[in-house]
Amino acid sequence: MNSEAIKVENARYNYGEIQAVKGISFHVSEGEIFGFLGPNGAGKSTTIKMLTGQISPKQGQIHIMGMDITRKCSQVQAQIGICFERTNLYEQMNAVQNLKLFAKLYSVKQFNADELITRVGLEGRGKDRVATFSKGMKQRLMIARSLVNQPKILFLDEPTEGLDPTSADNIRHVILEEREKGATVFLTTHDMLEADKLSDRVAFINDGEIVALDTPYNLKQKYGKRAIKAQIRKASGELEDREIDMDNSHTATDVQTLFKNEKVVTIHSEEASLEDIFIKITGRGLTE
Amino acid sequence: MNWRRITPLISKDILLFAHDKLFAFLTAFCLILFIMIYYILPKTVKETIKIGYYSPSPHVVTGTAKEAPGISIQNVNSDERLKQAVVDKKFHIGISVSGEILKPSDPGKNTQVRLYYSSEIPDEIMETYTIILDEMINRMSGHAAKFNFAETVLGPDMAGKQIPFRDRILPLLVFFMLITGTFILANLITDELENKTMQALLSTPMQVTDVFAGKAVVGVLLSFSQALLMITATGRLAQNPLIITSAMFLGAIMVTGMAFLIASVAKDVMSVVAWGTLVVMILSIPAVTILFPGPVPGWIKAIPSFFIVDTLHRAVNFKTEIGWSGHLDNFSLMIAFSIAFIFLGILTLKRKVKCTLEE
Repeated sequence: MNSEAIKVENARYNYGEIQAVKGISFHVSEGEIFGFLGPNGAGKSTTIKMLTGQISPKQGQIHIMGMDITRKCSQVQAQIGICFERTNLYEQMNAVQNLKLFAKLYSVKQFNADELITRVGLEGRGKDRVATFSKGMKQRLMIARSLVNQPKILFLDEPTEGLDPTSADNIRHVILEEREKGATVFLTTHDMLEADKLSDRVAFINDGEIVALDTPYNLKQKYGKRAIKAQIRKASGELEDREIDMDNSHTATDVQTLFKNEKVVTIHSEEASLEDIFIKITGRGLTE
Repeated sequence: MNWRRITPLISKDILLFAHDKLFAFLTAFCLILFIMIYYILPKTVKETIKIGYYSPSPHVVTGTAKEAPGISIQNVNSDERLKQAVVDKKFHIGISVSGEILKPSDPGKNTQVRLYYSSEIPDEIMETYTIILDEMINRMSGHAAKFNFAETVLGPDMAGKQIPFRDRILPLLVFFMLITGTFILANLITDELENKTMQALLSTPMQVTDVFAGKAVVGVLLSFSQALLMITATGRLAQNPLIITSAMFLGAIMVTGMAFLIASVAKDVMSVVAWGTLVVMILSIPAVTILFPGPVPGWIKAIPSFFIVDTLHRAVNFKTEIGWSGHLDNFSLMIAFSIAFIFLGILTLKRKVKCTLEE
């Protein structure tokens, strides 16, 4: 068994003069949820297209489950599932017809569309035309479609973007279930909270380059600012915020002084979010 | 190519076509309309030249001259009435003879014959009629020239045979049904690209060649079946089934190639209709020329659809005159054009798919 589900070495892609991906390298282990984070236009979708064989890298090598994607594209595609950023279902067909079509394209012999439909919370809507579905329902059907071949690697491109909390939660639940079953998940998103909740490791991509790659915890430790935030009530009755740096030599004295001299209303420690870290590294926000 | 994967794709496209209200309705509507047009048009030819005849002398036209096939001569009792009858389109031509043509009163003097034509008759036809009438009057007067003419048509007599208008228009109607498939297929492909479902298909183990093969089968199937339904409904398929179905099959391949070309330039259903209409207008020119007997101008033969409609015309209307050997040139060119269009269509569409995947 190959422990590296995805291995990327110096992969590049350019659209004419524009370099979309500038020689990125990383690997994803089997059974891992790997968050690939970056703002729009950073190169996330181009990377996912290269990884899934939709486009070939102009330079570098990509191995999926030990197979070179440019040489064994069909074999790789038979074992992966993709959920695209933009909904691309056959809207004039019903949900079951959509799933059965793809099951046939993947040559899946024993396929139970209803089971999959129930799993993504669309029970009772299998015979309805997709055109009548809400955005959240379509996205859940997209997730179901990406699972028809029981993929070993699941590529999810912004799977919860713009969805209502219920649909987003349903999708996150399915992602975690797939990981439990042993699937590897490659997740691109610019929702940092989602990435933080789901990912074992995350990579930040900015302007076609990976600028940071580690576990969310390590990134927070490395780049985050630790502080104690307190709210005090002044003699005049007004509330005031105070911040004490946790990594100073005089932190303990500062905390002691605070409690001694002020009336503390609330106090809590504060960790940096992945978004704060991204801004710190790249100088730009994720929603730019 | 993997046909186990292509087959569900074909079923899917046929299902989507059936769900597409606009194109499904247009196809059914055209099919019914064209069949109705065929049956409404006259099934026999009545190409009789009506001639009015006036002479002040007691002589009237009788006997063989009056009963000649394709000619109807009617006596009129005054020159003025004859002229009015021609103006009123009761006669195509009026013949007014000033004196006795059988026994001229003055043998040294020519008898004046006036010919009245309806204003709608073109010059060249008028000239032809004048020659025919000259000959006819000579015969009536007993002054026929002492020549024996032996007419020989070399090759199948394409102009001489009287073909009912509905059979003459049939290749055009069949061609229209073939070309309807172009709109349907181009729209299916454009939809696939516009809605990015092509991206979903190509993320499965399916190759781009599999997708194109599936689309080509759908295009040929739709075009061919519609044309076959059309010609079967008219009852003309039995005339020459093998040649007709072969020509329609090659025609279906050709229009499928065109659908690929249209899909590679069109962006949505409106541009499919716009490009498709332009293509239909150009490709219909040869079919229109078939409506009129006579030699076809050379430039018409540069339009690939000529060979389809010409073959259909010959097969439907000249079964006994033209055998397989008479169709060989047309079939060779149809095969060449079909391959060229499919190849060109796939080439341009492949580029478009690549661009769509990069977007």
